[in-house]
Amino acid sequence: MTQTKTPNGFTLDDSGRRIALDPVTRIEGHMRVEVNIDGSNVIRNAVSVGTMWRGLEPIMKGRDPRDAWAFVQRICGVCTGVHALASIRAVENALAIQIPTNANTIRNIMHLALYVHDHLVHFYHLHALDWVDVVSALSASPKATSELQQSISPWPHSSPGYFKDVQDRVRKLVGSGQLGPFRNGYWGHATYKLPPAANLMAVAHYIEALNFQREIVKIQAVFGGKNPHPMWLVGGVPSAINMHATGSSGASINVERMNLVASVAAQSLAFIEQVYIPDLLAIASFYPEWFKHGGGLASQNLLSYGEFPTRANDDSNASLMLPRGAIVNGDLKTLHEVDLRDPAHVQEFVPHSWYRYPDDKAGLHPWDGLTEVDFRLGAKTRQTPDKIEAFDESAKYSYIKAPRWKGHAMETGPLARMVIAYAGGNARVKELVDGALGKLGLPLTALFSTLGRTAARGLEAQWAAEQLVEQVAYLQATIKGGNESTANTEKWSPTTWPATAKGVGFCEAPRGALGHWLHIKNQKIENYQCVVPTTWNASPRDAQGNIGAYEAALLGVPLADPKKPLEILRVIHSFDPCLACATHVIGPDGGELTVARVL
Amino acid sequence: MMAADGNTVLLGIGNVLWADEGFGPHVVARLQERGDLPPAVELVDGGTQGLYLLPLVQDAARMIVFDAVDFGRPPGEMVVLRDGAIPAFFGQRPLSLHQTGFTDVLAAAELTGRCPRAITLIGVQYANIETWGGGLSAAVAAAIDPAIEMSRRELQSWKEMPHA
Repeated sequence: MTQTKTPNGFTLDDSGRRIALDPVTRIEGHMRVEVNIDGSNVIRNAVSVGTMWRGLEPIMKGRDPRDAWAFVQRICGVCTGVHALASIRAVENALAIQIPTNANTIRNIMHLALYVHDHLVHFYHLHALDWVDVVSALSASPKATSELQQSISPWPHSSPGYFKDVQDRVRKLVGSGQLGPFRNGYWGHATYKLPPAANLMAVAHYIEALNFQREIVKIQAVFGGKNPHPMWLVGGVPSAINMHATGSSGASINVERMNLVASVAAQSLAFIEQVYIPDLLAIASFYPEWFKHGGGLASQNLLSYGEFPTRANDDSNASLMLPRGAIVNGDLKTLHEVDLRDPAHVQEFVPHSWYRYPDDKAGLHPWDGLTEVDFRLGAKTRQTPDKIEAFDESAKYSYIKAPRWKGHAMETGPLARMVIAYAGGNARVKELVDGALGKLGLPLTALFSTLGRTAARGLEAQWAAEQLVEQVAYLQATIKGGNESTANTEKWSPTTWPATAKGVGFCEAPRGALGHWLHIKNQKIENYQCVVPTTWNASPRDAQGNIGAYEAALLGVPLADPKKPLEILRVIHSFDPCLACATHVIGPDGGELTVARVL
Repeated sequence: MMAADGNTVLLGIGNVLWADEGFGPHVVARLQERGDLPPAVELVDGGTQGLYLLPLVQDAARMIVFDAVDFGRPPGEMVVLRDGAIPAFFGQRPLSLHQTGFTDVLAAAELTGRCPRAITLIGVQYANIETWGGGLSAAVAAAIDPAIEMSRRELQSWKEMPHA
């Protein structure tokens, strides 16, 4: 039988031509996608394959829980801060450690700055070139570009001379043959829709965003003592506040540095309001069909662990700026409670994953999680001695486990967070979402799409920059009130700990729900399990045959040219997969047709 | 820890969780222990931060990059590349994603018109990059000190350090 219906309502048909995209990343997002297309080149089956074992969990065993953050932050180059935060929260949860108010605020500031930074970099440097044709920008009239820019934003860099200069620089790069970040694009692809002036404007902002991101990271350096790899601390934050200190000695937070942070926060908000959001709306207006394609699970099941506690040590929804919750079957009126400690809520399944459980059909809560590799290929796998051409999705086919919330496959990320906050009555989020959709003349349901996901990320960046400004002001006010405490060291000594303890640390990473679960025994880590955002979104099938978010989102997407599957990149990139991936497109006879680069 | 304009930066890149792939950060750690670099030289463990290292590259006047490489040579053998040869090398034979990422950083720096005047890659042939959580192989660990010596000669040639 070639056609099957999944329990979560999708129809799969694997009778058509198979296309495989195989990235070669070694980081969290190390993955491959295979699809079957019908006679009209529409995707009818999709298979998401995690091709590398992360293997982090076994190396955590026996380590000091207070050091865990330093190891887990090396899982992935881009997501360092989020793993560190989830880790210290898990240890604090296990040992009932209370953190001071200032530590909570500083963590919020660092994390909000990461949202701004990550979303900006994702939009301009990892996703924009799916919509923006760099080569077309070379034929733009600088004058027309200047007029376009001035019609959509008060941003000052808008003269014809400025755009001429940008165009010359890009022309030089293209002419030199060293395309750098612009290599391997599908330039000239039939589905690029922007006029040359819009392409040039976006390329100019690509470069401006490169220069601007250097400002945002200063916030991590101020509070984390250094960047890259800022410092974290179980029980608080490692930087001491001393408003009377001067100069750059030590890692203390002083007046000068607080002023720098406030200035960077204000600049971030201005850049997002005047560059990112106008670009997002301008680009989106040329691609209305992408508010239909690529929704997948989004219109059904969304999950957020919640983020940004306004009160230290309180992760109830009354305290969280973005609520924790689950939406199931598209019912936006009901926000289901999510309990990360409840063994029936989050479970991971492995019938289609290269791991072994005592009972393959049963799920395991991460506290009871096992990471025992069991690499076996299904009978229908197509392979040569050198490589695998097509995996057999009826068997085990991924190193990614299938996480489920109460048995449901879920989408996680900015779209989930914005919709859950909207459904939960967050007034500012509602205003931002309604405002943007209003300008585009689209209904709320348009969010459940490829560009809806991309738009939700931009709106969340604006929300985060606004909160960043407020949290910095709040920290300054608290310090002025005489409270300079940043760490609680009461339980720093392991002699104060119980013989056994278990904890869970949540973190809404920029790309979605992240959880760390750990057991501590005799002052050492006994078991450590991470369930990362990409695990949710890139999940393989489960025991019942429910497909995951990537797999669902690819269904029904038409390809203009199967040899240049730009559309697949648009869909997958809208989820913000972890990092750059090089991809190979393999034809029906197994021959390599072309090499794509997923940026 | 942001470099001031005109700084010389010694940067180690790679993933310390992947055995020999952590060569670059291990060199930086050794240099930190020794603590005998001139104050004008900044030492950075860049991990696998990719594009997030852009500000560092933009601000550096001169830069030395330590990394594990694959030239198909005996494990531990050192390879030195300078300036224009570096992106071409990483572009053709990326050992892992962090190198693709670093090529993009160099290109991005060029696109913004702010790149180091001189850049040198000190690479060491890896033996094992598959063992999760594993430390350096013996051959690669033994290459740390020679790599540091090479960087000293490079710095001297840039007149950053007095001759011994």
